[in-house]
Amino acid sequence: MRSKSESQVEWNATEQGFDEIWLKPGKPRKHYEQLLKSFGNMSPEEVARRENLQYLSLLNQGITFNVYGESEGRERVFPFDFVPRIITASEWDHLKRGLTQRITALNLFLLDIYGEQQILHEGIVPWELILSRKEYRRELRGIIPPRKVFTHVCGTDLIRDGRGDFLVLEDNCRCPSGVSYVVENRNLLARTFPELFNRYPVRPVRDYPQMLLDTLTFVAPHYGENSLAVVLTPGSYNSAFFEHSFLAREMGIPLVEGRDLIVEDNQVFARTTEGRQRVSVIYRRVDDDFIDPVAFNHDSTLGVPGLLNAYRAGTVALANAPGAGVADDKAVYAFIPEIIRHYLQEEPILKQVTTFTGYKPDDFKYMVDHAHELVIKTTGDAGGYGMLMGPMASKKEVKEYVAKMQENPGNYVGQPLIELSSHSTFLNGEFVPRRIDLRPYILYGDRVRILPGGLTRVALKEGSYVVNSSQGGGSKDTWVLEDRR
Amino acid sequence: MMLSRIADSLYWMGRYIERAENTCRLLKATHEFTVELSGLDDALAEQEWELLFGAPPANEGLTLNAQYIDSFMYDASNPFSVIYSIEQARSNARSIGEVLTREVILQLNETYHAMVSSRNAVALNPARLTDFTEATHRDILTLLGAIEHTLTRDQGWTYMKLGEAMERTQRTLKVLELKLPTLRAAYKAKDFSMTFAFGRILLLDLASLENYRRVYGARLEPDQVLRFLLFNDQTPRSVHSGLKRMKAYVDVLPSAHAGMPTMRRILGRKLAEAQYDEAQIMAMSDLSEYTQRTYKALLHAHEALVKPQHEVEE
Repeated sequence: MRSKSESQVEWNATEQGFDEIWLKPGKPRKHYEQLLKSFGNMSPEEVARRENLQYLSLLNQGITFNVYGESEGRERVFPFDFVPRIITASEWDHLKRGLTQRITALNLFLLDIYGEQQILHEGIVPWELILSRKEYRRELRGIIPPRKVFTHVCGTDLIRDGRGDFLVLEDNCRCPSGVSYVVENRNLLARTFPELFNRYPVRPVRDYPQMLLDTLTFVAPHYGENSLAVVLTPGSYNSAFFEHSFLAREMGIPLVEGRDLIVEDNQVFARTTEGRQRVSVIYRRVDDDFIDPVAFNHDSTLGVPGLLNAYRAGTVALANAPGAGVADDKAVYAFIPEIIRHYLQEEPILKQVTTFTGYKPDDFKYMVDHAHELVIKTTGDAGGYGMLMGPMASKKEVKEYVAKMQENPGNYVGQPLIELSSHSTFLNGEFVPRRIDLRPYILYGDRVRILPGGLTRVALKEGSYVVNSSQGGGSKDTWVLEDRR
Repeated sequence: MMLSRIADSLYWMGRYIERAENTCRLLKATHEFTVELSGLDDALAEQEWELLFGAPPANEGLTLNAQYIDSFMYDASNPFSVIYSIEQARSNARSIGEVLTREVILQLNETYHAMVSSRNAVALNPARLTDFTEATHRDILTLLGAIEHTLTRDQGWTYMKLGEAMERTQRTLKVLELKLPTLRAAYKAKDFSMTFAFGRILLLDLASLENYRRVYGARLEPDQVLRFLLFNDQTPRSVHSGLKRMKAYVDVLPSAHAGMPTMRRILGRKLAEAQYDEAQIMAMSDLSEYTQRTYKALLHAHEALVKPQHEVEE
């Protein structure tokens, strides 16, 4: 459906699902009216010129990501769409309360399953589910991380259903990426479309690195007594290397690789030009399997031998804590509402998507019988890898996928396909609806801090539901408005 | 305090950017010189290219000058090309972005992307090679300006400038070693016009013509040119000036690095020699012995810094 609205360029509203901008064709939602007016003052040529400037700016600033398995050049610009997504103050207030509740419960859950395991004893979450997760590290049971924090940084993916209600799609409690694009998107939009900001009280996002550093130093044993906070990266070939470098630069702390660190007498040191320097907190962007070849994957060259012993000895904090990944397992996700009720004695503020877990025989049978209707994911993968989009897949693809599921049923979860909300996106000279999600970043330290908004990812391909950057997704600036009542 | 790996990357980044600038300048200078020379003596023009850049790259359909410029500007498989050096500098910069400034990263990326675009344009129109060489050279100078004006004068900056000074001084010594025989031969043969031409291109190769004139005027005497390029401690590309800078840098860097004492010792000796033995060196019958000896000493100093100590032989 086309709308001329205020703009000289055509806008198209979606005909499926919730449209973030258009109440109905030609009638924008109130909080988007001023934005449309601003675009209305620009000619299509002017819009295209600024879009090109944005592309060059991203390329020259090296704001890129790497795609595994691509032979031609390893850098790719993460496509940025300049039409911002706007979240009202009241919507955000609701999300903030829900996300605070969720991260608090997740952290209590991790403390419990690596400690007393009450929730398992009481049968609220099944033993076999937790013990069969590869992200559950039995060797870490009884080790309480500094300040009892497991999930220092969490990225919770949210979508909006047909009525516009926010639903949690998944939590990311290991190394959620993308926050650098939130800050860079804001910088870019402010430079190329400054007039868009004139009519909106947009909450700032540039202080995220300070928030993160505060969270890290809160958990660091002996921080400041000649000891360092560092960001640990797998190296420049990692898909999120730009972000690792960005965060280290913005926090003003060293970006280290495994080979830069050594462990001696259960203390972690960095090799510096002035000799060894003690490290008290590591924001690690290396997965559990690779952080310590002595404790986990013996072939890893990315980690630091002996790091886990230092962590056990309490001389260094690791963010996020090893073993935290079990909380974002897609099968554990199905139990989060119960987990919230158990620890907080509250009803979950945020709803989530109905989930069938393959380890339950009835659920698995349903998944097999309805594979063509469901979105089926492997429990341990992220980034859109290892996923079946049933309604879009061919019969052959569904059959092959189901055959694979039979090999390890517990490794799969199924969810009904939720029609994601759509947001106008500028592509090939016109504003077209494309599906989006939202990943807010939640920090858990001395208190819960949530970056206003987060990363809005957009599926750029027409008809696509997959928003991941590695699968053809892009992103938008996300505005959370101040309440000026 | 700085991670040793980052110090190493900054040192190499300094070297590669300097190498790219040097190669660009040498290509420009040699092109201009040989354009004039080719009308007079084709063989001599060819020899001038070969002296610095080796045998002609096989690239049919291009003039000799274009073959050299194309290969040493755009051939990424040629480890002496400008694009190779920029790629290497960029690769170092990518892995240590957190210690650089936005301006430096931006200019480095712009220089690289402009080169990639111009390489495509050159494939369609080789006549634009020299324009693009000029443009790339300007981009690199802008990059050096961004480094100069935005980076903090900390250890990182010192390591980068140490790499730059090492590359520059070794390049000066190498160019002198290669070009001294032709300059001397022309002077001996009393071919004053060629002596002037060879002296002038030598100074242009090392971006020192204007600086030389300010000290000695327009007259290009071979001995004065050599004395200037070896011992003038104010012109930025002389050997003395390079040694002085390097010594000053290593003196302020921390001693924890195992190779630092070796480096300080070598640089101290070579600087003292340049400061106090100018007359004896200038009186040597074969100056290339001095340039080769000094080049080798700098190679040891470099290895002391970048190689594990058990691999360094003095």
